[in-house]
Amino acid sequence: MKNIFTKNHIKITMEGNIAKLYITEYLERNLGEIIYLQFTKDKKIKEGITIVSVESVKMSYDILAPFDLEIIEINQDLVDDPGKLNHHHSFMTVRFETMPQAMSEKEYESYLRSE
Amino acid sequence: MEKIIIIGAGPGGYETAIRAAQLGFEVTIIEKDKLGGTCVNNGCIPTKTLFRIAELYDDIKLGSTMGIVSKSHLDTGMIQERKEYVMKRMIKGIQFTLGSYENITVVEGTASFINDREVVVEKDNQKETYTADHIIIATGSKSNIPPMDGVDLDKVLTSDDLLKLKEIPKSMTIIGTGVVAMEFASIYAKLGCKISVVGSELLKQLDEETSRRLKDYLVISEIKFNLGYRAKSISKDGDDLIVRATKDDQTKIFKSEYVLIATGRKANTESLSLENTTVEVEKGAIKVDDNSKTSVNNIYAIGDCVYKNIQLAHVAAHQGMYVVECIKSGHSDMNLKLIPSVVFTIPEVAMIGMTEQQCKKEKIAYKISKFLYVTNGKAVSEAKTDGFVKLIVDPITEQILGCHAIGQSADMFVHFALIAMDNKIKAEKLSDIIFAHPTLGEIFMDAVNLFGGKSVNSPFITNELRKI
Repeated sequence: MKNIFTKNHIKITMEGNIAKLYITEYLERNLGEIIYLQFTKDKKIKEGITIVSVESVKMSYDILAPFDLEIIEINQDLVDDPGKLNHHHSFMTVRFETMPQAMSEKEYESYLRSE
Repeated sequence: MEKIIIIGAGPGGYETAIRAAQLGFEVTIIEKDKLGGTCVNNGCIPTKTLFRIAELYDDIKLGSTMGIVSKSHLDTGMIQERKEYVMKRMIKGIQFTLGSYENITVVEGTASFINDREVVVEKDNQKETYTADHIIIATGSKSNIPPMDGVDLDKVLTSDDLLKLKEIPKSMTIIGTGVVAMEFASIYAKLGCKISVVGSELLKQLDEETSRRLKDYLVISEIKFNLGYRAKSISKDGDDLIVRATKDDQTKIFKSEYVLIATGRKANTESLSLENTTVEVEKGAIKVDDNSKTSVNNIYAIGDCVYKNIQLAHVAAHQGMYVVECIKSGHSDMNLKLIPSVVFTIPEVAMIGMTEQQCKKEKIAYKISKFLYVTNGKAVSEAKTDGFVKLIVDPITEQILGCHAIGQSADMFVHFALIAMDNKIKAEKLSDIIFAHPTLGEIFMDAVNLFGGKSVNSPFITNELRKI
C-alpha cells in the first residue's frame, strides 16, 4: 500500500486501482470539530469537483476529488458521526483509471512549511 | 377618471387597488369571500402564526439548556384563538387602508363576466353590473385535489382544513413535497405530531445543497421521508387512515390518524364565466403576456390564477402594481425578474436568483462561498446554530447570481442579496461596509469576505477553490 498526499490535504492510500481517501492531520486539526458531512450523489466524479461538503464548528469546507474517480463506497459511519473524520477515518473508497499524481509524505510536509 | 375593476381582494388584488388609487384611478374591488384572500385567511398569515407557535414551543424546550426550567403544554383552543386574532387584525388593517382611499369601492359578491367589458356581481340573489376601462383578475388559487380513491374520507384534509383543525393530530401522512407540505410537516412535527411525507423531490426549486441540508434538519425533527413514492389511494382502517403509495414496483403502506393533501394549487377561475369573454385559458388558468395582459386588450390577470405563474403573494402584488403603473404611464420601473422566496420550515429556507444546479445546467461560470451559523457569535448565543448562507457569484462581473440561506431569519440574507443584485453591486464591494456586531447579518458579511480571503472568522487553510 502506498500513501500519497494532495495540496488539498487529502491522504490517499492506494492498492491496485482502488484508493481509500482520508483528510490529512493538517486538515483534521485546522477544520476544528466536524459536525456535518454532505456527500455527492454522483458516482463518477471529475478531478476538482466537490465530493464532500464539510461543516465544522469553524468553517464550511469542500473536499474536492483529487483525480477522476468512481465512488465504490462512502463511509456511512461518518454520516451518523461526522466527528470521526477528525480522527483518521477514511471517508470514501474509490476506483481510478489513471495513477494519481500527488506528493509523498515528505513532499507534503515541506509543501505545508512553504505555505 | 379612468375606471379599474379588480376581481379578488387577496394580496394581489388589494395591493393593486391601493396602488391604482394612488395613481388616480377610480377603483372597484370585488371579493366573494374575505378580504386578504388565501394569504390572510388560509395561507401565509395563519401558517406563520402556527410557525411561530411551533418555533416558540421548541424554544421553550431549548430553555432547559439555558437555565429556564418550565413545564409547557399546548392549548389547542388558544392556538386557534391566536390564529383568529392575527387574521382578524390583518383583515381590519386591509379594510382600514382600502377605506382611507376615497376612490376605492369595495364590493362584496361573486363576479362573473358578461362580456369583455362588463362584470356582474351577485350576492344574496341581488345582481349588479359594473363596467370599467380596465379589468384585473386576481382570483388566486385553491388546493388541488388529485383524483384518487379516498380523498373524500373524513380526516383527509387540505391545508385550509388543517388550519381550522382544533386538535394536534397524533400522526399525519403528508402527500406532497412542496412549500405547503414542508411548512406543515415542520410545524406539526414540532408540535408533537408524527409526520410521514410521501412524494417526489423535496422543494425542487431550491438549491440542491440547501434542500439536502433542510431534509437532514427535518429528519432530526423526526419527519420520515418517503421520496420517490406516489400516493395511489387512501382508505380507512378502524380509526386510522391508510395511504398506499408506490415507487417502481414497490408498494408501501402509511398508517396515520390524519392525511394532508398538499399536491399543489390550481387557479380559481370557475366562477368568472370566462367563456363569455375572449380571454384565453389553459387548464383552467389564465394565459397572459409578459405584461400580465390577457388575450383581451383591457383585461389583465395577476398572481396564482395565471397559467404557469410563480404562486407567491408578493409576485401577485407586484405584478398588479406593475400593471396599473403601465396603464397609467406606459411603463414601470419595477423589477419583476428578481423574486425572493422563503419557506417557513424550521429552520426556514430562503432563496433568490440562480441555484448551483441551474448554473451547471446552463453552463454559467460561478464561484461559491458558504458561511455557517455555527461560527457566528449571535447564533451561538441564541443557540440557533443550524444553517448557512451560500452565495453564488459570477467570477467575471463579481456580481451575485444567487443567494441561498437556511437557518434563523434566513429571509434577511436574500434581501441583502436582492438589493445588491438589483443594483449590480459587486460582491467584493460589500466587504467595504460595516456590519454591526454581534448580529446574524455578519454571516452574510463573512460569506462575502470569503471571496477575497478576508473573513476574519475562518481559520486559514491552504486550498484550491471548488472547480466548476
